[in-house]
Amino acid sequence: MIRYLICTISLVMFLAGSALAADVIIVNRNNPINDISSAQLKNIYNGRIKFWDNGTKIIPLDLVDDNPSALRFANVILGVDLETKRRFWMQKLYAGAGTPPQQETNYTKVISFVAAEPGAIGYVKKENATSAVKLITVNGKLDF
Amino acid sequence: MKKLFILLFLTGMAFVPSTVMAVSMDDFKLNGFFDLEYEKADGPGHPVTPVGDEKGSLDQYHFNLLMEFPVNNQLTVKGHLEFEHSPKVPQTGEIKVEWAYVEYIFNNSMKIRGGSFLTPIGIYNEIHDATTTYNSVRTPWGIYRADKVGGFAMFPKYGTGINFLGNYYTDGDMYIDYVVYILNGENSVKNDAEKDDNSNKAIGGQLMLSPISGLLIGGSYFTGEKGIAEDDHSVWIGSLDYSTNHINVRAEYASSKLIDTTESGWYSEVSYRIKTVTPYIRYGTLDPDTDLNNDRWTEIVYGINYEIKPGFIVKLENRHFGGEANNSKVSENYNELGASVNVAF
Repeated sequence: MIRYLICTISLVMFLAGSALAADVIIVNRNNPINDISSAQLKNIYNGRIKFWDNGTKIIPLDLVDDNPSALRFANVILGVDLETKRRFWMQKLYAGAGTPPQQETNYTKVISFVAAEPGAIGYVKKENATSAVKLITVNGKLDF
Repeated sequence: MKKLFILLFLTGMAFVPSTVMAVSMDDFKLNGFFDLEYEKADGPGHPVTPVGDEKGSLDQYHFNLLMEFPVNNQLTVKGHLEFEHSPKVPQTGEIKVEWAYVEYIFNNSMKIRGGSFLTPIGIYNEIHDATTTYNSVRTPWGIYRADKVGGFAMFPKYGTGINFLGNYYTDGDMYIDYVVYILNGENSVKNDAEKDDNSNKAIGGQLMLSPISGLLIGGSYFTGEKGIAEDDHSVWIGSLDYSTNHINVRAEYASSKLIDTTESGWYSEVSYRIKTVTPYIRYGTLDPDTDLNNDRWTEIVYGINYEIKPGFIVKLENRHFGGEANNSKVSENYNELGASVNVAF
C-alpha cells in the first residue's frame, strides 16, 4: 500500500513538474499567425527567415543561456545544445552572415518586448505568459 | 551580360529607400575578436629561406572590429576592420578593411551586397581570421595559404564587386545557401577596391546544400584574369562538413589553375567536443604543381581547444610539416608547437 502511494505521488509530481516546465511561443497580439511549424521556427532562429508573410521584419528573442527555457528551446526546437548554438552564431557573425537573436535575461522582458514590437517572437514558460502577447501553436501543439 | 548585371545593381540601389538621418545607436552593433599566438619550430623547414620559427615568438595576431549599421529593415551597411600583428609605423603589421559593403534584403530568399568582401570560397575563407570559430590555431594551409607552402594563392581572399546571395529552405531540415558574384578580380598593381587592372571582370559562385540536419555539402567556383598581364586563373573547391553536438568531420578538395600551372590540395579534420574541451586532428596536403614530382607539402596537426568561458578559448597544438625536395618553400620536415589565446566579443 505504501509502495503504491509513493508511486502515485511520484507520478503526480512528475506530471505536475512536466506541465510547469512547458514553454510556449509568443508573438505580438497584432500578428495574424496562429500556428507555426517547427521547421519555420528553426529557420527564424537560424536567421534564414527574416520577414513574416505580411512583410513585417521578424525580431526573434532568445533567453540567456542559464535560463532553463533556453536549453529546452535549443534542444527541442533547434535540435542542438547551447554550445553548438553559440558556435553556429559565432561563425555566422564573423562571416558577416547575420547576428544572433537578442538575448533577454528573464520572461518579463521577453513579454514586454514582444508586446511592444509587431514583428517580435519569443518563448516563455507557459505560466508566465500574459494577455499582453499572443500564444501560438507549434505544429498544432501549444507547448513544447 | 556582366555590364548589365552591374548596371542593374547600381540602378536598383538608387531606388532603395533610405534615410538621411543618422543611424540610431540603439541598432548599431559592434563585435570583434582578438588573439595572441605563440609558435616554436624545431627546424627551419628550408635550408636557404627558413619558414619555421626556431626562436619561438609571441604574435599579437588579430584585433578585429565588426560593425553593423541597420539603416532600415532592409538596408544595412556592414564594416570589418582588422589590425593584424599590432601594426606600428614604420614597422610591419597590417591595417585592413576586411569588408565594407551595403546589403539590401529583397525577401527571405534573396539579398544583394555591393562593396568589398571576403570571397565566398570554401568553408574557411570568410572566417579565416576569426580564429575563435574553428578548433585549430590555423586554417588548413594546403588550400587557404598555398602561397606559404610552395604553391600560389589558390584564389583571391578579397574582392570588390557585387554579390547576389540567399537561401532556399523547405519545411524540413533541408536548405540551400547560394552566392553568385562579379568582381574586379585579382590585381597586380592597383588596389582592386578602387580600379581594375584589366577590363575583364571575375565571376564566381558557391552552393551549399544541407540535405539533413548537420550535413553540409557544397562547391565553390571562381574564374578571372589576374592583373595587367590578364593571366587566366580559375579554382574550384568541393566541401563537406558534418556536425552533431559533439562530433565534427570536415573535408575539402581544391584545384586551382594559374596560366598553365595546376595545383591541388585537400584536407580532412575530425574533432570531438567533450563539454568545453575539443581534441582535434587534421591531415592536409598540397601538390603545388601537378606536373612536377617530389614537390608535395603535408601537415599533420593535432591539439586541444579549450573554451574556458564562452568566447574565451585557449588552444594548444603540434604541427608536423613534411616538405619534399622540390617544394620551393618547405623542403625539409619539421615540427612546430602552436598555442593561442582567443577572445570573441
